Amino acid sequence: MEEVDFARDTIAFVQMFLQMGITNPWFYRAFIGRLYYAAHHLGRRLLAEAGLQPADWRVNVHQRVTQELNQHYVVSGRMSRQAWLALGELCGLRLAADYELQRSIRLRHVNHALALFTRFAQECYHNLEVS
Amino acid sequence: MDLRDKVARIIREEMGDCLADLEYRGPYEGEEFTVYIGLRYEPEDLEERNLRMRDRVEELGRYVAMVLDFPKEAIAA
Repeated sequence: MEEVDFARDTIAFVQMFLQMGITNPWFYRAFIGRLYYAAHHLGRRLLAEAGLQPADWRVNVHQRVTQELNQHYVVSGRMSRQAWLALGELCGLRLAADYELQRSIRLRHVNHALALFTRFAQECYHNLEVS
Repeated sequence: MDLRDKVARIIREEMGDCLADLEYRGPYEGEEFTVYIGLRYEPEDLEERNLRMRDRVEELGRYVAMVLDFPKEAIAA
């Protein structure tokens, strides 16, 4: 599944660059953005598996993915509320990284984004029956 | 009490004395607003407080983005 491959590549590259000692905040913003979108695409894959067609959505797509995940996965118990809230929090971090250029984005924020992504992605992988 | 006040009350109740300040920004992409939650320090139970806070705000039924703004030097209480 391309969304799973993209998610794995994303976390692998983010961790690789961090281990290389990247400290420029520009990269921190990029890492947070990529982590969010990797999670977003996993969410879209889950919804496609549930019979929805997020590829056809054009308005408020990010919010709709979150809402529909709640309806189709959280309410039914297939995803924990914690994992679902992690996606929402990761989205907020991405908004900060993308729009708040005067705000300091630090390594702590990246590590938090990594934790949020991991929490959400693990439950997505479980639902998609991939390791 | 408007939405901003309701959200602020929830954040203050959950974050308690580790809260430094709140800053409202946006909206950027369809949310009502984005609130930056400045922390004076990171309490040991930050994860639990964060989850409760987000759960309670979610129950308000409106799309509000919340971003934890960690202190520059993280201090575990």
